[in-house]
Amino acid sequence: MENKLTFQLNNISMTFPGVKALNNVSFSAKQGEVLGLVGVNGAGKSTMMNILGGLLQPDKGSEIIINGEKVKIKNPRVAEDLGIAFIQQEVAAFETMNVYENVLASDFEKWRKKGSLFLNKKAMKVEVAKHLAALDCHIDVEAPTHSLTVGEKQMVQIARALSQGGQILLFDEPTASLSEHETQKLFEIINNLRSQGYIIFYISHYLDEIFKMCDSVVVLRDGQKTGEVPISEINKEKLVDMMIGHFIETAERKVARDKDDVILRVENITGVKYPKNISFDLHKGEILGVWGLLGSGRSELFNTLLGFDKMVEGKILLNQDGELEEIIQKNLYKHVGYLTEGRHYNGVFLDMTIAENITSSDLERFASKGIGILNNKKEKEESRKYMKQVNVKAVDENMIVSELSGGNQQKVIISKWMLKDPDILFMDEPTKGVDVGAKAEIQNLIFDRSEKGVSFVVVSSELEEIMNLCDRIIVIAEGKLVGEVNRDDFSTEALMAGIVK
Amino acid sequence: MRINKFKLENIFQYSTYIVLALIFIIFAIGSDKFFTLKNMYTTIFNGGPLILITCAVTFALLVGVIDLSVGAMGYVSGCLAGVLIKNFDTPIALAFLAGIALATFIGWVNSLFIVKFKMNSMLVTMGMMLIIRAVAKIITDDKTISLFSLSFLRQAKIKALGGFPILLLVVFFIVIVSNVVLKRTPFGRKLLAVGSNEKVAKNIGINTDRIKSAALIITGALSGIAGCFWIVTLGSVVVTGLMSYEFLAIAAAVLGGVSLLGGRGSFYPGSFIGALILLFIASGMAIMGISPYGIPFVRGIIIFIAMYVDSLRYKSIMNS
Repeated sequence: MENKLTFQLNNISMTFPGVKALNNVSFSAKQGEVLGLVGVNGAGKSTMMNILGGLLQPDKGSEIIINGEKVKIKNPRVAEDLGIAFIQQEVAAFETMNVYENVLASDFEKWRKKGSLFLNKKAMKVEVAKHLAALDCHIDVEAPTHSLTVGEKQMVQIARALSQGGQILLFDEPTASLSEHETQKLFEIINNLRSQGYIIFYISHYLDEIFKMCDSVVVLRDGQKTGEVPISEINKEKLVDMMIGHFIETAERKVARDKDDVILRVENITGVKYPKNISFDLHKGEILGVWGLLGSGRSELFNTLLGFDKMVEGKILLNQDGELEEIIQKNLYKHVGYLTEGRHYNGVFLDMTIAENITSSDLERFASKGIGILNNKKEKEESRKYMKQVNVKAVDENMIVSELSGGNQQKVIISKWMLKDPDILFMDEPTKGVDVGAKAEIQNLIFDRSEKGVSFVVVSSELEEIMNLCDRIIVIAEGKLVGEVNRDDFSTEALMAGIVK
Repeated sequence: MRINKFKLENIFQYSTYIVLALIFIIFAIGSDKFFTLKNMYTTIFNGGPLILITCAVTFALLVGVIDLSVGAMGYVSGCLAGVLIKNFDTPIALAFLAGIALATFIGWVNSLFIVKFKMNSMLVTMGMMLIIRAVAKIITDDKTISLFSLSFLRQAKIKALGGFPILLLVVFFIVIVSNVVLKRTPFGRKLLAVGSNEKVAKNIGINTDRIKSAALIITGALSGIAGCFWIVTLGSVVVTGLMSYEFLAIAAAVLGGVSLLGGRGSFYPGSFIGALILLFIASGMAIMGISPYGIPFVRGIIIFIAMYVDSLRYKSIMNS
């Protein structure tokens, strides 16, 4: 890049009907800088990104200045022309296209053969191969995109940004769906891009990543900037303090349970590929962690247990009225709760109200005897109770869920399961994409419930979280159970040992 | 953080009423015969089949199924009832029951294909529509059947209400009961849940297959009732009966705010007012002596406008 790249935001405000999402936020970035953007859910990070990406128009008086020139980002196309590229949270790829088509998807016109209607596929492939090589990424350009891993799809997205001539790259939670290995790879690439002089905005809930990757950090809270500091001058406590104003302590976990009280026993459960011959017991009031790397078969274990995948062999026994009895696989889901990963697609009814979402898991409870008319008043009262318990930030229980921020949506999902109050709750990544404050609230809630006798089975890819939360962790690798660690012996080494072995 | 919450949706909620009111005003200015009790009764009574078929298709739409066989199910139900009455001297009530039972059965077959075999709902119901129409032709031998014995039903009126047709009570009853079921029962809420996001619904322990099947069977049953209503209003079974009613009914439902993707809508105001809008456009234009060919044209335009308003409404929900 010949010219020195500068980027400045002055007094950015954004008003939605009734809400001030951003209030006079100003900051700047210079060439070769990785700027972290942090804040709890609903602080205004996504709004800021959407303004830069041209998806939202800020209020009058807001100024965006690139290379000394005042610009107006009317739509994503303009953003692209200005060299701003947005690498989104949920990986955006056209599943049915090839890799090279995906990379160049935004500008097919340019790749038409001269004087012909047809695409110059050869030139396209060469171009894409060049960008992928620059990223040190060895994907076949002709591979169908649906066959790629999440990490590879993200590389495709980065390659797309570079091929468009992007100079300012916006990363929104880039590691959220990546495995440990892929994350490392991404970090290398970002470091590489930094040294080449790109400006990089990095949004993440993982504060460790912010400290590892960023040169400086901008903190947002309730739409206002509460800090802009070089990363070297700040520590984690101070940063969290700026983000939430106060530090929410996680309750101390007391492990005290009756060893004999087995509520669920799994014997030699085997699926088509994964899992292989896994057995374990779940005790009453226990929080059991399932840990394994991406692709280790931990999701398959859940899917097989809950009857979404075929079970080839094995037995599932459930404690009903004090007796362990065998239960057919397809029926287990009726007795347990299941908090899925990917809340947007699998978690909430986006166009329904908070109250309707919360009560949906146990509607019969609110129906009158006889013809079964729902008692709306009782529904709303009950919903308010749960909203208060998990601290859902919303105007009232009649708000449509799509209006809530991601973390608050997650809290609605958790409220839903608390209302149903199953004896066993399966949770897949319960606090993924949730901010520090909400994370602690959710964790405390799980502790509280488990003390009342609810058992949990938790899958999480965050080591720290799973170690904070669980009483016992079973380790899965290649579909097999390779280790079991009790809370007293928790350590990264102990958990990794089983996998390496 | 929230200052006076201005709700754009609140205005949109009343958009169907506003459109209906506008139609009333325009035609009332255009002709003094339009806004009379008699015209109101006649239009709604003769439009009974459309209102009922709109309710029928709404049940399917709520769970995200676009059922194209509703018109044909109504038609075959009317045909069967008509033939039983005319050729076999079957008691009227029994003949109607047979017709409704047949349509309900077809609804069940639809649900079997769509829910059990996971076939594409639009093509299944389209195929069903073709098959039923053919069967109906065989039943009626492709001839018009006159049914004078039904005229007493058509003519039963409540004088005290200025000649209110008694059978209209059936239409109102079905609209109201459907709406109460939708808004105030667990079953209704589950319909919305399945239509809104089937995966989530399954996840929280709703038997989505059963809910979807139930919705499609109800769709069949209501279509059957519409078919019986149709032969009463017409006094005969004609071969072109209820032709393209599936499209009119879907348009009416969408006009009333029912989502084509499922999970959103109501019977009242929703589908009911939506159907009234289409009915009163036709009646008003006929009274003003405008060419009958103009009616579908104007209805088409109204549907475009409704879809535009709907997209605005959806945007306002999703953007905030």
